[in-house]
Amino acid sequence: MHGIILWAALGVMAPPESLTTVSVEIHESLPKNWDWTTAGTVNGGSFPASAFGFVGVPAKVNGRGIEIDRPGAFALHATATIKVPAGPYRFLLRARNSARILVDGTLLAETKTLVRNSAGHEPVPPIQVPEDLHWHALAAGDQERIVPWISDGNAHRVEMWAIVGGNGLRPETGELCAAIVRPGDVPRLIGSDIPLSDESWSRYADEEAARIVGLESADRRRAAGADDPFWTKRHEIARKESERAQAVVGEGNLIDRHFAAAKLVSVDDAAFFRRLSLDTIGVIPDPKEVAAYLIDTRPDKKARAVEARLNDPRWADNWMGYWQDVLAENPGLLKPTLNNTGPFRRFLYTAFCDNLPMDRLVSELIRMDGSALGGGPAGFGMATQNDAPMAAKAHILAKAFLAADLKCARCHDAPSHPFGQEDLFAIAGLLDGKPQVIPATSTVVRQPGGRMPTVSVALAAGDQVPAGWALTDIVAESLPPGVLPPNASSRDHLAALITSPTNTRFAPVIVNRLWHRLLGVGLVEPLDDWDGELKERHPELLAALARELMAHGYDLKHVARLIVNSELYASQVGPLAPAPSGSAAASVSISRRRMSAEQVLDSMFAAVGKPFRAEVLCLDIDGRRPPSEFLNLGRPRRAWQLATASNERDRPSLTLPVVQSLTDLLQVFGWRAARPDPITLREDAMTPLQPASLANSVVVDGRIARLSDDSEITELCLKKQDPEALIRAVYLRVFSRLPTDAETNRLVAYLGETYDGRIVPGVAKRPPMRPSSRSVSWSNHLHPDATTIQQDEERVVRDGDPPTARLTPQFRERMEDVVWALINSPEFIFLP
Amino acid sequence: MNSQALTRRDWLRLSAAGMASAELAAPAWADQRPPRGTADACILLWLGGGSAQIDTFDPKARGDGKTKAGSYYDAIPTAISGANLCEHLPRVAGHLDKCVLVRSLHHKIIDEHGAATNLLHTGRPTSETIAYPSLGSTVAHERGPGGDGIPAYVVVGYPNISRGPGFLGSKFGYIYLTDTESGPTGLTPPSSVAPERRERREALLESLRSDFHSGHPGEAAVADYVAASREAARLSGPAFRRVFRLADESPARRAGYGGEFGQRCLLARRLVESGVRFVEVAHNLNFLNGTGWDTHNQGQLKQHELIRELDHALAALLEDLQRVGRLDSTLVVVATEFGRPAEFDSGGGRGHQSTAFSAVLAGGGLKTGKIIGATDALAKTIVDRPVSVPDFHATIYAALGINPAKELRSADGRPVPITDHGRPIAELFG
Repeated sequence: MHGIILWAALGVMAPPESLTTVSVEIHESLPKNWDWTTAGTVNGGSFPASAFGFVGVPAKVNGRGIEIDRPGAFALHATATIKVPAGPYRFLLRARNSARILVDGTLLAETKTLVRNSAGHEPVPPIQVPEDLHWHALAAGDQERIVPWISDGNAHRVEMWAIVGGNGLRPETGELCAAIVRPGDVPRLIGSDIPLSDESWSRYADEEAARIVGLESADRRRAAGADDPFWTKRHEIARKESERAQAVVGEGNLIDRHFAAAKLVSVDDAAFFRRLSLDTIGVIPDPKEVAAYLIDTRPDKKARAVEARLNDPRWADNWMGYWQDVLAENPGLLKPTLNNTGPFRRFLYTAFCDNLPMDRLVSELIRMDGSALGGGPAGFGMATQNDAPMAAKAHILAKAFLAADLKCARCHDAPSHPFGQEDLFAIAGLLDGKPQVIPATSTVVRQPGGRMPTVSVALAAGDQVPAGWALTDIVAESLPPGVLPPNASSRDHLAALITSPTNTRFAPVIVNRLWHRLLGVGLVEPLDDWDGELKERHPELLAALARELMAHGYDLKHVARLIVNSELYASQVGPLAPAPSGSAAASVSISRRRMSAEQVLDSMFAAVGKPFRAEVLCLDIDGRRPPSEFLNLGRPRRAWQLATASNERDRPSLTLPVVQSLTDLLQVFGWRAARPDPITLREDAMTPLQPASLANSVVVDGRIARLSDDSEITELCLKKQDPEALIRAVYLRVFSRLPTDAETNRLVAYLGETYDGRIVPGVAKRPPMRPSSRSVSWSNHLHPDATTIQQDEERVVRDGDPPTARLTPQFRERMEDVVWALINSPEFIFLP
Repeated sequence: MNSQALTRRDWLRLSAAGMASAELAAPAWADQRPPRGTADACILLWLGGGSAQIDTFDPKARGDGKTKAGSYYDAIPTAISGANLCEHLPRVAGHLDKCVLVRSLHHKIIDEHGAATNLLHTGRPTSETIAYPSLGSTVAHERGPGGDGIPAYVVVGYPNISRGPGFLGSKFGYIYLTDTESGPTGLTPPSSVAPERRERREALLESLRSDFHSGHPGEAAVADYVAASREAARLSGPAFRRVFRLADESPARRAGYGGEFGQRCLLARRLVESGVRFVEVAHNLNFLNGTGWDTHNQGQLKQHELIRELDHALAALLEDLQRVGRLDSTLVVVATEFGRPAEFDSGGGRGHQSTAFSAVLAGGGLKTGKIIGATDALAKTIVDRPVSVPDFHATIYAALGINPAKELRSADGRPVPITDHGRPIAELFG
């Protein structure tokens, strides 16, 4: 507050165009012994920044909008003009790697080149106390320079140069910034009046990160537009192909026409809205949205709610955990050697954000282009320590998109499926662009004294299999004109075979997966293996939905819209009332579904309005190791973004306690810490560890139920209202419905006399302590201090969030019990 | 599409006979009846990081810590005549007659902790077609818990992928705790909630739960979850929690086990007594020497402190198991992901070596007092009786009365033998 007044008095002037943005240029392919001054033309693009403060650089994309790595180290160059009253000042520069700040071309300060580290024995840097406690603390691994500067009151050109990435390092900026300091004030980021205080930096960093996401989306979509004409033509072919299937005639929702004979009873509005929210955005709805839906009297409110949900960007979040399992996305944070992939979660997420048509998404996945370790589809192509990575990928793709399970074919001809080992390795050949050699492990050998293998093995280790396509009864090898892109590679060829409108499986497999996710039962089961014993329901409906997908450009949302708008989707759980004999409807029921692990975690945090406040998913926070050994998956915002902190090393100094607490909970609900193999269905068994973990986990007891100063429930408790209103509001938050009178009374009675006088006057809200700044990284994790620091941190995390002092402990504990009990009730985790 | 699908199914029908034979065929050598031991529990002390066999269980002539390769310490005689151990294992040396030293473990996995740890826990390299279960999960699957309201498998250490249940499913996963103060994660009610408050809020929850249950009659999923909640209350109830109260042991006994690692071993004994089948105790509190067992560079300098801690705790565990009459029924295993070379690195420490390394088996009703396998003068090359990881696992399973050749079924029905053709070390049985 008084900082702003000070700043106004300081009268820093920036030219009008840099009042809002600072232009930053990226210089790539720097020559050896680059001397800072002779950088060539801007060859890495430019982007606007809000100030001389960076949390990242927008990703670079290829001509189809796929993110790619920049070649080696690059330099950022930011310029701004400042004009401050005459007097003494200081400049501050913070950078992880080599950086410089210049005024009117004269070097003022510079930082040193980052030195890689592998041993891990460095001392843990002390938590740096800046000279003024209001200054934002220096991040781990960053260097700081503070130099005096005298202003003559005239305008001056300030430049910052900074080296990012290269030398096998991740292209991260750290908390790169330059600021000007007037005596007695906090530093202000150059190009703005933003103070470099903890709170302000944290807000700035979030805003900048969000702005970069916006820039990246725009870049990506613009680049991808170049491929639009090809896909428009492809979708026209698909539309024509779809017309070959029997059309479903009649008015209204095609699913409802199909189930016209069934007697459907709809759930109430609140239940529908909660179900719809979980199925589309993967999280329980905001209480305000529930209330608005409940009081909405417009006849088309359901369709409106559906439309809003389908267009919500969280649609992408809700698909992530699913495809991470199906496509075996398996990044490892530390020296991954367990059949790990790159973090291609990023490609999947942006593809769903952009609502990329499914045929196009799958084609890009199969092309495996872009950044392998930075999140592009190339990461799908990785399989660390796997001796036949392309066979592994062929298996995943066939299972995911063709429901053809070639698992057995990795080592022998499938005994229960019509696939030979040669079929799998031929597809692998298409992915690899060359013949495949059968590795020694991919065979079955009779051991001395062992039994004769009962499976047939046509190929021997060392045999060569040429690239090719053998699943010709799924799709013929010859494709209709226009399906293959020009100059098609063998991967393009495989992508076209899998996604071709003439492929008999691709569209039905996709819509069947969608149907299963939304209704809990597949029209064909198993979902990912259609060559064995099948349970089929309503084949004509499956065909009709597949036809819809093809006729509408493989837009998943189109089919989702049909389903969630149907009467069937809105029906109560249970068997449908018996339909007249002969009707197909008899074999469908609406099943009781449990939230997925991700939905449980995201929903409980949403219920109380807290963020995860987890550690950044990285064990090399000072950026001293290459991305092939240490990934940085960022700070998780949604459950799917988590990854296991486990690293098979048992070192206390390598723990991420908040992440661990969150993944522990995810895991008991079926999330996989490692995904070496693709699966469609997670285990759905109810285990005692599920309710036990909800009851005992620090996440629930110490964070969700805890009335800390960052809990929305705490704010509700501080409102002047009667206890009944509080309970109603809490029910709306946690269960997305209003309580019955009996339910209200029970909880009001539980609060009892603690309610009156619950507010402790005159106590201020405390800022959250987390995420705490980290000093332990791979470079120093073997130092004894590292263990002590992390063990202390584990203890602190085990205590949970600090309780608010604004409520009396007597009331607070009662109210925490109420929240704890609601979250622990089965009503929370089952979809209505 | 339909006609094509039918073709495929026709094909299947035709091959159904072949499939049945694949499922029914038993391994021919199963008839050779692999030996079966009588142990009913296993404690695995995991020396994460790769403990140096040449500095512990397979000592050789001394090196100089720089250019001359060899042991870093002197060797001492043991209760097995002719067998030496490193001088920092004096107490274990006195108990070596209760042990089997396996000096010829080996594998070919890349010398990297993750992959090798996974191999030593699951017995197989990772695969993209199946996730293999760990030793602990397999034992949990085959033997189940030895008591009511008790889990079958407990890890005292950090959770990781290698310790997981793989295709056996979460039912055969582990309960874990990271230190002996904190109790098992997920099963330990928060200490900040006083007992009367806990009871009060449990009662509130029970009313919400039973409302929901009765409001959803005939729904199996809801009924299952409510039943699981009752079971959860038992698992986190006082009976099992009591096992974790190390304060119930005499101060002298607690002191006899030593520091945190010793306390973990003491807890392992209590867990086994309560009916837990498999306890894995991690020994890598790396602040003792910086690196734990991964003794690169200066990690070597204080390695002896780590070895002494192991000596102290392992000896105490063997003595204590004998005292309570459970040594014969409890197999104690000391294992690691690989060994380390006789040569020293530029920082005076050691790199990784998977061509030969050591492990210990103790108690468990085995014929102990034996040394299995031998290495050359630098503990680098196996010169006698190599023991593969599957053989090592087969020995552990056999000691626990589990047929290592038994075929488990993955979720999709694929037959998976418990070990990859592992053969138990025959001379330890019968």
